[in-house]
Formats: sequence, C-alpha cells, structure tokens
Amino acid sequence: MVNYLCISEKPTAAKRLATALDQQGKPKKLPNPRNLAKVPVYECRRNGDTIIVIPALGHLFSTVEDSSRGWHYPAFSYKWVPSYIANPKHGSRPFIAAFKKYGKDVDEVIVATDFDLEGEVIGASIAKFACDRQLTDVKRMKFSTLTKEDIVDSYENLQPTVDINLANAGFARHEIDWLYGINLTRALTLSIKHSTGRYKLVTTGRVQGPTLKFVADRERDIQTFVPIPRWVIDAKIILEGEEIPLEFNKKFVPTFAEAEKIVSDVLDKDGVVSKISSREFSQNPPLPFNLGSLQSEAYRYFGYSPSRTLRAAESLYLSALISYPRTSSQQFPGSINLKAILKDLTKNDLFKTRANKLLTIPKLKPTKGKKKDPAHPPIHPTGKKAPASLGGDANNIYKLITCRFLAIFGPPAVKKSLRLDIEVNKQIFFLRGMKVLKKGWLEYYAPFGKVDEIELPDLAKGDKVNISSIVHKQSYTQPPARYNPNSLLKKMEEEELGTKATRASIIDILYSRGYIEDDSINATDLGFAVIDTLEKNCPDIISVELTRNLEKEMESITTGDKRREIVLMESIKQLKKILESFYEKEKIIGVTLQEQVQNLKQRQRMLGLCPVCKQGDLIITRSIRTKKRFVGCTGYYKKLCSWSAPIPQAGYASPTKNTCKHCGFPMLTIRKKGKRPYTICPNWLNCSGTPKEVLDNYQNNKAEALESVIEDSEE
Amino acid sequence: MAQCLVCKSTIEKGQYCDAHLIAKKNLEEKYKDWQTAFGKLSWKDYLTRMANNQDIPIGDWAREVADYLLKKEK
Ligand SMILES: [Zn+2]
Ligand SMILES: [Zn+2]
Ligand SMILES: [Zn+2]
Repeated sequence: MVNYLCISEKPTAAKRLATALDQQGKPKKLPNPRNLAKVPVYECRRNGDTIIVIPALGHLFSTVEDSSRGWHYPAFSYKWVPSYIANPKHGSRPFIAAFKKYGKDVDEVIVATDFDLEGEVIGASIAKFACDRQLTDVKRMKFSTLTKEDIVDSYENLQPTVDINLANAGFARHEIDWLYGINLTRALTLSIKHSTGRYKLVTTGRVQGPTLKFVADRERDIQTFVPIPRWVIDAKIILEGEEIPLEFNKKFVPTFAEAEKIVSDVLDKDGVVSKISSREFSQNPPLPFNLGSLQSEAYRYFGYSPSRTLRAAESLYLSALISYPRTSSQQFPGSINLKAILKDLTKNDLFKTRANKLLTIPKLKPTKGKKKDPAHPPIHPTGKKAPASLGGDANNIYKLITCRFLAIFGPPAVKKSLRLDIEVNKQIFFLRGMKVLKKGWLEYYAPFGKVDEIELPDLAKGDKVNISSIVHKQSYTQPPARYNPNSLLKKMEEEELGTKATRASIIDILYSRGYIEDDSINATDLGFAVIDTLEKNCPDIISVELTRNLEKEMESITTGDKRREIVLMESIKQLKKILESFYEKEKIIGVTLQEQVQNLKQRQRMLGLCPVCKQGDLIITRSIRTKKRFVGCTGYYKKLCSWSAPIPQAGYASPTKNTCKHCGFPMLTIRKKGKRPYTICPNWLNCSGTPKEVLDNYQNNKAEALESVIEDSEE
Repeated sequence: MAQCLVCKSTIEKGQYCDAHLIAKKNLEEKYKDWQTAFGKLSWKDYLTRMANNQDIPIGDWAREVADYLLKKEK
C-alpha cells in the first residue's frame, strides 16, 4: 500500500485527474482546516493505494531580489520564494500550505502538471520547495489529453523522474527573464531620474524590447512612406445583358502616357476571344494543427487574437475535448489511436458522415509537417462528445480543430483554373475561372477552406465581344501593412523570439504597458521614444539577434547540451555588458528619453503658425492652474502674443493639417470614444463659420457646446 | 542644440529630426519616379500634390515635410 501526492496544474485539471484515478470515479474531497479552505484536496483509492490530488494555481514560487540595497542596478542576486511574498496579491499561500501539510507524510510525490516548460517548473518547484523532495525522487505523469484513458495510462506508466533538463531550462528562463526585466527597467527609469530628477517608470523585458522594435520599425516605414503612381486599366464587356469586368494583361501600368495609349487603342474597337486555356492542379490536404497554425487560422476565420484562441483552446483541453494546445508538433506519433478518435467522432451528428467516410479508407494516413515536439502531438480532438452547452469561442475553436483533424486524412483536392483571353487591337484582356473538380480534403474541412468557384461565360475562340467601357484609374503603391496581433506573433515565431507559451502574453504586456495600441498595431509615443533612444544609445537591449541567441542557449538546456549554470552565467555576462554600456551613457539616455517623450507630445499638440502674431505656434495645452485644456500661442512665453481660446475638455484632441476656410486658423480634431470624430476651428468664438446655436449655447465658458451642435451639423 | 525645421523637436545637429530626415530623403528619391510616370512634373507641383492630395497614401511624416518644403518655396 503506497501513499501518493499528485501535483496538478490547476483546480479544474485536479478534479479531472482525481475522478479518473479513483477506481469508483468518486474521489473524496477532504475536509480542510479554515486556512486551507480554498484548496480542493481529493483523495482517491486505486488498487489499494491512496492518491491525494492537489492543484497548484499557476506558479506558486517565483524569483525576488535577494538584497537590501533597494532600487538599484545591477541586481544579480535573487532567491526563489513563495509567490505571495513576491506579490502579496497572489493567492498562493493556502496552496503552498496544503502541499506542505500533505507532502510530509506521503511515500511518493508525482508531478501531473501540463508537460511543458511552465508545467515542469510549477511541479518541480512545488516538489522541491513545498514538499522538500529531490527532483530525482519525484515521479512524473505524462499525458497529452485529460481523458480518463490517458490519465490512467500515464499513472500506470509513471516516469521515474520529472524531466530534469526541462525543469532546469524552465528555472533558467524564469531567472534570466527576471534578471533582464528588473535590470533593464531600473536602468531606464533611473536614467530619467538621475538626469532630469523626474520619476517615470519605464518598464521593459528581454523579449518585449525587440518585439516593440518590430512595431516601431514598421510604423516608421509607414509614416515616411512616399508612394509611386501607377494606373489600372478598367475594362468591361456586356454579355447577355450583364456587365462583366475584364482584367488587363498587366495588373498595373507604370506611366500615364502608356495608360492613355491603351485606352485609345481599345476605345470603340471590338474584341475577339483569342485563347481559352486551362490548368489542372491538385492541392494537398493541410498539416495537422500546432498552436501557431491554429492561432493563425482562428484569426483568419473568426478574427480572434492569438491569446483569445489560446484561452479557448485551454478551456477545451481542461474539458478533455482536445489534446494539449501548447505544442509545436505537426507529426502524429504512432502511439495515438487515430482510428478510435474517428470512431468516437461518428457519435457527433456534425462530424458523423465525414468520419464514417474516412473510416472506409483502408489505410488512413494523416499529413505530416516538418515541425516536431517531443512533448506533445499536434492539436487534435479526443473524440469525447462535446456538450450541447459548448458555446462562443470554445465552440468555434472546437469545430475548427475537429474539421482540421478530419481534413488531414483526406485525399488531395483537384482544381481547374481557366483563362479566357480577349484581344482588342493587340491589347490583351482576360477573364479568370475556377472550378473544383474533386473536393478531396476540402469536403472534410468545410465550412473552412471554402473556395469560390467562378464560371466562365459561354464563349468560344473567335467569338466577338463588345467592349462596353474602358478607362484608366489612378492607383498608387501602398505602404506596408501594420502588424495585427496575429502577424506580430508570427513575426516573433519567424525570428525565434520567446516561446509558444509566452509570445501571446508578451504582446498583451506591450498593450497593457501603453507601448502599442489598436488592433492594427501602432507604436505609441512612449513606445517610439523608448525604441528611438535605445536604438541610438544602447542597441543591444533591443537586439533581435542577441535575444534569439539567448533563446537558443536556453533551448540547449532542455536538450541536455548545456547546463543551466553555464547558460545563466553566459546570460549574466551579456546583461552585464549591456548594463555597462548603458551606464556609460546613462545621462544622455535619460535626457533623450525625457526629451523624446516631450517632443512627441509637443508635436502632437502643435496646430501650426498663429495667424494673430504670425510668429508663435498655436498649441493644444493645459492650464497649470485649472488643468483645463485650451489652445494658446507659444508667443505667450515670449510675451509676444496672448491669443487663446477654450476647447472641449473630453476626448483626444489632435492637429489636422487643414486650416479653417472661414478664418484661416489651423484646425483640430477631437476624438471621443463611441462618437464620430469632429473638427473644430480654435478661433470658433470669433469665426464666421461657427453656427449661431453654438455661441448661444456657450455659457459658463464651456466649449463642450461645440460638441453637440457640430456633430449635428455634420450629419 | 537645434530644432527640426518641420516639427520643432529638439535635435543634436542638422536641420531635421530623424523621422523627418528619412521622410525627406524618400520624398526626394521618389520624385524621379513621379516625373517618369507623368512625363513631366515640376518639383513644386509634386510637393503640392504630396501636401494636399488626400487620395495619395503618403505617410504623415512625409506629408509634413512636403508641406514644409512647399511653404518654403512660396
Ligand atoms: Zn500668436
Ligand atoms: Zn475659423
Ligand atoms: Zn521633425
């Protein structure tokens, strides 16, 4: 008879584990003393043994500074402490107490957290710090789904120890990220304080900086972009009373003269069908989902951000509906019974027909990609029936994952692309058609992967057609697109920054710290200021290459090629070098950073030359006394001009590049959440363009009167 | 210490801040392409379009430079 303590990752997972492990399927919830009341502790009986299952609550332990020197850098000494000491709001205290209480008397400790870097650290730190065990003595349950079969199977085939390399890599990552975060944040913040005396907390992290640089670089490309003109030839034919647009042989025509010539060549001429060609091609079924491709497909079909998709996938995993989502694998190991999953899926009306059809294929073979992940297979459904109550994001993601799973067994799709050329006075136009000849895997992936079929009109070679209209249209080369959360995540993946578990949250942090904004991601003033300053003075902090190298070093701990201590020392060496070069330029960095923030603020506020004194600039500013926003002239500071006017207080005010057509004052736009932006003339009190009602409503110096009336007049 | 001619932000040396300097370079470089595309286009007409034509997808910083250069021409 053996007593086990089983460490689970979170409460929902613990309940599943306990229910699966208890022979009766009815684990006993142990009564707890008041201080542990929040912690569910399950007792299971199995083959005469007792298994106590207790959940963690994410990381119960974390790193804090081990020094009493206060806010300084470099800070290289740290210690692992309970998370509630590092962060008093963290609810880890009763959980740690529970592990201590039950960990004392058991014979064996089993880690049953998610099998990956984070999970290994959560389990290993509890076993080590709360249960006082050597990692070499701690057993491991390894599973990729939370189904009863997988849980029992992993319990019956316990790994003799936790994955010590993986745990060490996880510990090292936490320590290195902590070291970089705390030192860089302090260096930046103190640089401003030491050089200007002001306190402004400027935070950054090891991966955050380089990620923010991607956004800032892109924004700079957009803001300094100058397009080149080009022309599009727009021609139409009429067939059976219907106007059909034609494509011109060249997508874009580079000069105005050429565009003119084409139009004059074609004008009033008839066209002849000169060629009909077609091409058949087959399209292989898609690869199995890993986290990256699931996130990108979910963005495509549902517009979900990567972190939203991950949250939904995680809840599906906890409900045992899908396998573990944090995987990079595109290859199914032979150990998974894919046929059994398909059989289970036949019990679901939505997938029944497709699954049955696949089951008739004698040799089922899933597609296989290049990416491997030793820890987990590709994301797939477990086959367990989804409850009817499954709704919202989880339901969409579940369908997408299941349809993808079905599609990877399907035969190639065969498509036919058609092209019909129409020649008009030696200029070639064409129509495109598309036909799906064999649906293949598309049938299994539906409603996803839908192809729009386009039919060609019923025309034969030599037929005459009438060109009903021909014009050229001005077009321009386009600036590069901004990143969205999904493409930024992909960029991080490509550049090998962060891990599949951390990337989405790093993007979230950049949003919450105010460095980036909007779904079409733009760097904020603060984001720009930080990147600009660091680029000039301490580029190593935001170096993609250095960050990537460090990722690789950490990866080599996982594979056992390098020891944790060595990687830690190397990373400290690199950090030390960065900090030294930073310290040398601390003053200039502090001043520049402060100035950049100031500059950007000023640029944002400047409307343009003051039409009254013609020397100062009109700016949007705030009264120091009343804190109210108004427009004033910079000539005021030089005692040249005293012009000023009130403006509405609510919303975000920014300069427009236009001047008022009534009085010539530079105008400003006010954007208020949930309202249409509106443009006002700062000279509205004296401007002939101001509607009379505004002046009538203008009482108690409240420029807010502008808001209502101007909005109405815009309708 | 100097000021950027376009945005008045403080700069160490020169006439333009980094952002407006890149924008100015782009503006000058692309002028040739515009001349080719239209057959002929004076520098002033080019700047006028860049500063005022809202259909042209030019970046804000580049437009600011065009606007500044145009005012200087006048
Ligand atoms: Zn003035
Ligand atoms: Zn006006
Ligand atoms: Zn500037």
